[in-house]
Amino acid sequence: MKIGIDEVRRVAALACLEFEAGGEAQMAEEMSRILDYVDQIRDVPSDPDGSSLQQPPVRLRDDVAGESLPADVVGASAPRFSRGHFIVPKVIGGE
Amino acid sequence: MSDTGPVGARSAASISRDVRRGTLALRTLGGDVIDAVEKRNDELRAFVHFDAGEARAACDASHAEGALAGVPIAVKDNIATRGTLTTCASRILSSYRSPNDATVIERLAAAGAWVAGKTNLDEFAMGSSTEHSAFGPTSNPWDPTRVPGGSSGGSAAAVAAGLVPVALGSDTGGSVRQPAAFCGVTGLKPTWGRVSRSGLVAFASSLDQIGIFARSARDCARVLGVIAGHDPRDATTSIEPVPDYESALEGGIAGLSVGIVEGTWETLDDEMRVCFERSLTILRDLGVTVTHVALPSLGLSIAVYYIIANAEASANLARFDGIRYGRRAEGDHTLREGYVRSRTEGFGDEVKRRIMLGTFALSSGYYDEYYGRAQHARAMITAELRAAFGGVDLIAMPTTPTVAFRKGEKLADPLSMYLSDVYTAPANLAGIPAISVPAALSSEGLPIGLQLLGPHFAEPLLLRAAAAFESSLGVPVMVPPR
Repeated sequence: MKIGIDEVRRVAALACLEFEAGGEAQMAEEMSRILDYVDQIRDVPSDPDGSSLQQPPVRLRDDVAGESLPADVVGASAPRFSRGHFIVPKVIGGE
Repeated sequence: MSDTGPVGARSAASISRDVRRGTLALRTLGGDVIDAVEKRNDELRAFVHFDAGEARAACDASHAEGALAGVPIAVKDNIATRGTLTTCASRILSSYRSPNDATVIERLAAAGAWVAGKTNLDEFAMGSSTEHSAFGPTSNPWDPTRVPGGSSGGSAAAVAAGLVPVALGSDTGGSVRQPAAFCGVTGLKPTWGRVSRSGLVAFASSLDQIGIFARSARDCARVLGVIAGHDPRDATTSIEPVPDYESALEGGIAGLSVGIVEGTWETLDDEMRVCFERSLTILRDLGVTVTHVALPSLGLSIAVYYIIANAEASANLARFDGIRYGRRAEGDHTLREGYVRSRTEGFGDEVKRRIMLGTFALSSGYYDEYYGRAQHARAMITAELRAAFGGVDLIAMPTTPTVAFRKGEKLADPLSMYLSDVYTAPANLAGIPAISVPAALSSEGLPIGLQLLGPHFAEPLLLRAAAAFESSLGVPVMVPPR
């Protein structure tokens, strides 16, 4: 399947990624080549609801409160953490 | 396998035995491992995080009791280890220190083992050569101009080079078995659900499984017995009882039936084909009946795998946005600009390529065409394998279509790299266990692996067959010629 620059831009926007002009062309070419190979599954019927794949049953743990990590231990891996709160960047405009 | 000599060249079983008896001191053992890693790691880059002080402290903190008393273990750097770096070989996690241990690490520690260091991988386990690492590539100990395979190449190289007796990796499409074959060690991918993934950074959740590298089936059995079993922190783990894998090694494999799949090896180059046929002869000499099985959809495996794995990866890696997880891009920007810049700066080329392919396959207008069909094809492959195991005990295949390739050889051709997984991806799609065992050396002196696949939870049989094959081969230890 041939992927063009516009399609790369559409998918990159969905994926929150950005490519430079040369990178977009390269990505289009690589995706096209890989999708050409992958297109062999187009002979297989679709399974839109996923019902053909049976998942093994899972055993959920009891719905009771248990021990969790102390807040300061979790906060230690954040760029900024104060008095039990993660401090995230101020959002300036946009979405 | 040697029962004496440098720690890394010994089996985990013999190390733990001597530590329990008190004839091998933890301090001596720790010093041996540190010396070996410091001597070889600049050349191999098997470890990406190795600190002699931390290794010494971990060794001192281990205990002299348990099935793995004193055994040093190398851990792929996508498995969480408390307080130390867990980077997934990615810039976006370059400073991440996990607040807790993965369940497998807790279980290993309870059995007396200690973490020697964290090993290199393709970023987020996406690759087949360990060249897609933010820390640079790992070298194959058999030939440093060649790749060790991937994505768990650092773990495979560490075991092959005799730095540690065992290591953990993760196997989503072959990332334990393919590097095991390239590095001449044994690599086990257990049944999906057999080993907890709590603490494994997710790549493709319906395919990911933590696996084991060792230089014998016995050591794989020892480690599996420690890490297998239900975990309340991972609802996908099975409640199936954990058998005694080591006692299952005994008894030989006479009377077993092994299936071979037409169309899967006949087109290999002469050397790989002859090696596979020789492996079948060894199995026959052990009393195994070799018969043909039909798996008509197997040829779709790579196409199916790269749709499903990339789709799941695009969802799993959405959390790395510089706010919820991952290094944040510097500067003032809008929320969306922050996401885009953090991800664009933080991810490497291969991860971006896979996120793009996965996002495409899940996007409006293409979901049914790609993801829906891939799910159906996956169910077909799984059903065919299940039917095949109605007639044979195990299936044999080559682990890889070639020996270890040269560094850089496939970097410019992603599809060619993906096809390295042609024999390994089916086991992940079906969730069944599989093992790669060293089978021969090529004319260039490079390892070649034999892969055995079994039905769900057939690890005891797989390990017994691997042990019988190893002993029959007469080359139970394949340490690189150094």
